Amino acid sequence: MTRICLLAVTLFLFTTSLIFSQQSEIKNLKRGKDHEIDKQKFTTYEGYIVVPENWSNPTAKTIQLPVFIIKSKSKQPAEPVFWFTGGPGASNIRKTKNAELLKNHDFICVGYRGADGSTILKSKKIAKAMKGVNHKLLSNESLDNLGVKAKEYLAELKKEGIDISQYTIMEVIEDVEYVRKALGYEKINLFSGSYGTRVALLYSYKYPEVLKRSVMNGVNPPGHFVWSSQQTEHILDIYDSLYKSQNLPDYKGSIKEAMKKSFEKMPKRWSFFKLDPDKIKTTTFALMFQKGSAIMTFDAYFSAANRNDYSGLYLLQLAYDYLIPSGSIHGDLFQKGCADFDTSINYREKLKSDNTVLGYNMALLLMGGASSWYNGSIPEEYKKVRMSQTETLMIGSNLDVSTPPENATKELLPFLPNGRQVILKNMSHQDVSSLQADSYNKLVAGYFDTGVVNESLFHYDEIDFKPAKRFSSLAKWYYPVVLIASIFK
Amino acid sequence: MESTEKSEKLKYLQIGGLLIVINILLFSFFTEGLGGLKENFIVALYTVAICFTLLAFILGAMVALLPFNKLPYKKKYWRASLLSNLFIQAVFTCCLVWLSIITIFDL
Repeated sequence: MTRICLLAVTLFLFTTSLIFSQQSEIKNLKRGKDHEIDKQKFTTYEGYIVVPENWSNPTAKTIQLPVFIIKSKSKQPAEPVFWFTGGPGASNIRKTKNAELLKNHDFICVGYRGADGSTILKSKKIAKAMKGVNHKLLSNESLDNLGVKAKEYLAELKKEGIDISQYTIMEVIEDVEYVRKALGYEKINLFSGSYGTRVALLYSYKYPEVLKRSVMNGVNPPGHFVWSSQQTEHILDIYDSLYKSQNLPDYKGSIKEAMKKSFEKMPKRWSFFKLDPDKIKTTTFALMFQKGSAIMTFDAYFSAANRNDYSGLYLLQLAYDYLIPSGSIHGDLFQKGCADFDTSINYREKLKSDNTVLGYNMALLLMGGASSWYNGSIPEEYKKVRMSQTETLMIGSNLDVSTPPENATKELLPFLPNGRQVILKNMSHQDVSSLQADSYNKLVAGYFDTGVVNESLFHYDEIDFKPAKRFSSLAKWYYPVVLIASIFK
Repeated sequence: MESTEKSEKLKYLQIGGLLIVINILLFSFFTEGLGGLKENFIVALYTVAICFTLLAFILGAMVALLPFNKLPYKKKYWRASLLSNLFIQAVFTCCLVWLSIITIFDL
């Protein structure tokens, strides 16, 4: 009798555990189109995962996320590399061009919830509101309008049954953990850029035991989702000191002076079209993510300040309308960007009271305009830096306006006993991986392979301040195109 | 018949030419932000006299494909191109007049 009872209990427990245990699995995983890098072909696999929208309630609504794998050439590859892209508000499905990395590691991308898969939080209304009202992008009227549209979109999402509070960095980490388990990896490497570095950092806080190494390019420590106008101004000073060493005919005073002068004597219109200094400042900030486009932008300011030629600056304004409002997935951008949101701060007031030449521009637009979006954030313990033993390589660049490397040096490095930092000279946010791509690829692959940091791969690259193209000439030579583009924007 | 057509074409050409001159002048004197009178004049000359005229002839080539009074393509092409030019230049003149007014009165 006792045996029968024991057997019944065992059977019951086994059946129950079978019902409630969720087997991690990648669905429909099939071979994709070969990925070619430098004439080498790599096998790829594509599939998707079905995960709960709310990880604390696995039986509730599910969402689908894509998974993309590039297989290593090695027959016995080392720990795979999971990729976290920048943003927020961008897809995480990227094809690496780093053949060095693929010699020993599989490269795996898991779609970001909110930006990939079955639920993409994109809103046309928000995109339209991000164009501003009455040619004053950062006026209270424009920011209020953006706030209203953000709230309306939140209500729409709720009506559709989407629980937006489940689209934070913490849920993204759970999605990746699910894929790690499904693929049967005990340990993995993380490779991240910009916003993705925050995901990687929090991953290392939550699941340190599963991480081998982490490489972070353009590190964003906790508390730095609001871009700093003072740090941008400091980088303008660095550019200025570099400019002074080259005797350029157009260079008078300093970049900051040229900017100030341009804004002070800015006419109401360029040709038929009203000028919006806020849009110009915002695009300037965005174009400073690469030094090549930064130099072209500075040239446009010198043309305006020295020759009253605002053609280049108008082109920046037009570029804003075409590229920035529709360039990201707004819901994802706001929801993940809320990670640093502090309800005790009036962001609009704080960011508007700034006396730097470019001001807070993009930060003010997002934090000042969309603060009405806030609906909770990540747990408090993940908002602060803490000690992490994960072997970490942080790569930064001294002209990076988005993630200035001193933030990581001062605030993160002391908490990473196994961390190293490399700061590259004369490069900006997006230059690091592209200007000396071979060296960058070898640095990253080498670190994942051995844990050794080889900085000597990079050479000093002097800045050539002669712009590749002049925005002011482009605007004038293509005037009919600019005219049509301005009418239909 | 032939001479009526010729005089009609001449009339379109004359009005078109006049509008081009007006547009270049208005654009040169009432446009801000391009760097000065010389720059305004160069952009105006290039845009109004070259680009818009080219655009008119491209439009004319397409419009002439439509059947009209059983006229041959060549005849329709000239007429359609000149009329397109007139239309484009006239629209631009209106825009420039508006621009001139808001510039003069600093609106």
